[in-house]
Amino acid sequence: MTPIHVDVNMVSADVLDIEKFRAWRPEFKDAEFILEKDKYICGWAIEKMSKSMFNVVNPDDIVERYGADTLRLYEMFLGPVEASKPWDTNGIDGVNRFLKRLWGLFFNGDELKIVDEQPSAEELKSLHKLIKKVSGDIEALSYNTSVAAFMICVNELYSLKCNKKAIFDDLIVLLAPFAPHISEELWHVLGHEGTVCDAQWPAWNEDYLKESTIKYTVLFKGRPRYNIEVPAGTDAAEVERVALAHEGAAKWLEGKAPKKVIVVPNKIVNVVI
Amino acid sequence: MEYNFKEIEKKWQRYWKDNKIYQVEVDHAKPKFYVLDMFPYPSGAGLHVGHPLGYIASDIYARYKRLKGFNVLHPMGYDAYGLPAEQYAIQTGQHPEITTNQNINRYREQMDKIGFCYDWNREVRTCDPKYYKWTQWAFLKMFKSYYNTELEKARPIEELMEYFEKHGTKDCPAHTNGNNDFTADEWKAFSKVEKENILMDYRIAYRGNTMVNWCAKLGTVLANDEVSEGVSIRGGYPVEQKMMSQWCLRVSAYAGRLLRDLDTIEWTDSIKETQRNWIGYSEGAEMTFPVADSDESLLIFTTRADTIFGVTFMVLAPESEYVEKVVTADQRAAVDAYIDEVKHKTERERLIEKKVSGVFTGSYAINPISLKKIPIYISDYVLAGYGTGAIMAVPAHDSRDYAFAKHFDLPIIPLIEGADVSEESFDAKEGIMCNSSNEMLQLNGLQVKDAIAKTKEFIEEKGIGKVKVNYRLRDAIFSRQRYWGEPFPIYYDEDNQPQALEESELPLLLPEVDKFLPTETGEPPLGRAKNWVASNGRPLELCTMPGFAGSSAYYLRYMDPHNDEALVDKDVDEYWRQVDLYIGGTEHATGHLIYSRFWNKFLYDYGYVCEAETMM
Repeated sequence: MTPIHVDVNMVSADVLDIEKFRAWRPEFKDAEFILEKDKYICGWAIEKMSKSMFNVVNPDDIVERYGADTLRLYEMFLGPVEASKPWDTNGIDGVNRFLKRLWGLFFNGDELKIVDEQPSAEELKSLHKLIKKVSGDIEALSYNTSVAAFMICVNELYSLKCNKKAIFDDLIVLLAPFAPHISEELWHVLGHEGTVCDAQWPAWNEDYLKESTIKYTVLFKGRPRYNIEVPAGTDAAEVERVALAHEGAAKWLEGKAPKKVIVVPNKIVNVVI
Repeated sequence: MEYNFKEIEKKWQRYWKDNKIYQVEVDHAKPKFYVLDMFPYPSGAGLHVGHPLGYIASDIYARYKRLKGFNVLHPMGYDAYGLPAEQYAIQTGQHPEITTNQNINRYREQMDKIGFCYDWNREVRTCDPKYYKWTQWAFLKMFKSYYNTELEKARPIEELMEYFEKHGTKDCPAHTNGNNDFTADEWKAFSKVEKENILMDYRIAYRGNTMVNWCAKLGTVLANDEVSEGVSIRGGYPVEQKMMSQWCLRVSAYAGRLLRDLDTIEWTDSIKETQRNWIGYSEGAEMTFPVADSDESLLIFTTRADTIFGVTFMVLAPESEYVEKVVTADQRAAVDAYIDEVKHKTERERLIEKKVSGVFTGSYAINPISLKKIPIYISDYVLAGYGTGAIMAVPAHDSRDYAFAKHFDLPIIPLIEGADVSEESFDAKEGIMCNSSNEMLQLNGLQVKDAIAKTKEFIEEKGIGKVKVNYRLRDAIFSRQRYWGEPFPIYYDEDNQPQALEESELPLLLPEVDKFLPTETGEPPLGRAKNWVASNGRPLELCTMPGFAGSSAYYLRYMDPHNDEALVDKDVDEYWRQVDLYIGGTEHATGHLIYSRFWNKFLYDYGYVCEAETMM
């Protein structure tokens, strides 16, 4: 059976709006739809936007349903301008969800969660990674990777339960070119006056980007047996001490004393027996 | 509190508007940055989701630059003249201005919803008289200018007239499409009309005879991409190649600078390469071949002067002026039939045509070096606009000449040692020369490169020809037999000579007409306008300008859109200078993006703008 191309505007997260479809194609008025969990799930294919494939989307419809900021982020998330683009509505939902999550970092119900406290090293690292990434991407007009970086950062801030004003002050400025409306709103929520358009683009600090802990793989007889983590900058003697203090050390030493321990900085600890 | 995008977006869009957040002025305290979008033609369908892609990308960049401390110019406008609105007007009688304005309003509404940071105070519309005043102004300046090849810039036509007064055409440093040769005394003795006709061969905006795609049924000239297989794409009406007098812009005079200055701009390599190919630089030799038993001679251009000993026939373009001069009475009927057949093909179709066709003129030329007598043919694989419209054919080393020679059973003489030309021509420019020596010139044993140099030197020395640079880039045809475009600020005097309106009479407003069709006598739609005459009562030009007229300098007008005194104020121009980031399609590489560079260079020559290029 030949697949039927349906208007993408009748599909939300792969689920077909059956009533709309019946109205659009009257010959299916009395057709029986085979449902999965009460839903008709559409397949999809990547096609260039064209009227014959019914995948021409009017920007007004997206703005109406999701907002301009979602449209802007979604269009930029699609990648290089020349490439053939799938107009799957899942992507739009994903971008929209990201903005809602960002919003959720600010508010708990009607209560503003933001506090004016010193950010942690982890929070600063997440932010400064983003500043560096987005600054470089914009200069290179590579926006799709920027949008992905925003999503990663917001996820990290969620895990860190971040609610520090200093982090969001900068994050909102970074987001302002991409999603100006929500950024303007949150900029004012953060207590700023005037437009976010006249804020200052933040600079990143390489010090914050350094890994705070280093992972070492510990080898016995040349085979990796376990990993240890030590603070960045730990000297070789201390790394050796931590590696041999590990609970697994006794088993792999087989009761012998190590002949030699070689520490390759930031990588491995090789225990020669 | 929920993320209520509807409320938030409406709120801040109003805030930006009320507080003029995106309005920008010259600010010497800040560095400037100019972000330009290709302005859209407002079609009836409105924006679809693909359209805003580029606009969003540039909007992000503009906002980013502002956050980095730059004073950012980010304007938007409409390329409002165009065929669809006119076609719709023809079908419905609705004035194109009405549909255009409706479409513009719809575009604006859609763009506003997306939250762009355009300074709408700077909006331009190409169909707005306040805007097209400056399109007409630039045209007038071009009409009143010639291109000085020594200074490499446009100069007032009066300077050329002074030169003619003193020296005639001797060593005249002016770009021309004519073949003028007169002394100062002859110039002085010419009538007014004769002088006007001569000057027309030099003006940067000129009326000239040029080959066009003419659709009699539509009553207009069509662009190459509006024609396919001899019929118009719209309507399927027959189209023929016709020599017509049209307004043209002398873009070819700027070919060298357009090519050279590509190195100064930061475009992608692919766009630059497209333009390089379009401009089509070739260095070669111009040579004269006398016609046997006649006073005529054929002037040809070749990049392969080294192949002179392999020239076994000559080919003329069907439109070449030489055709009339060499056709013999016996061959007249066959030649006429052939030329009639060719009329129905566009140049592009002729270039890709595989089938060999042609006709013998009955005349012979003398190879100036081998002194052999060779036949002169006519074929449509030679185009009138390239070089002189006549070529020397070297079938052994050019694939099109080869196909022609095989078809008409003409001799093929290989000139490179070891080249096998039994199945195909040997087109590579390499190898050691053979069959190329006589008592006048000896090329045998030389490398191709050296043979080219030696031949060039020889022909210059002997006065057989001269070394010349040739470009593929043609002058732009600048008139359309249409209603919905800028009127020309030109009237025709009692001798039917085109004359410029005064600058103070600009803008010359587009008149009202009862129908948007050609007149019953086949004149363009402006022929229907009542009182379409200049202040002196003389008739005004009936054609209008093409689409690229209005888009050629819009980026300049954005800098100073409300200025009534100048296209752009000097100080303002010196602040904004040129576009720093441009986002637009590559489809304009050989059209708009070349014409706007030409237009800008013309303005630069007179110091109206401070940058020789439109963009970084």
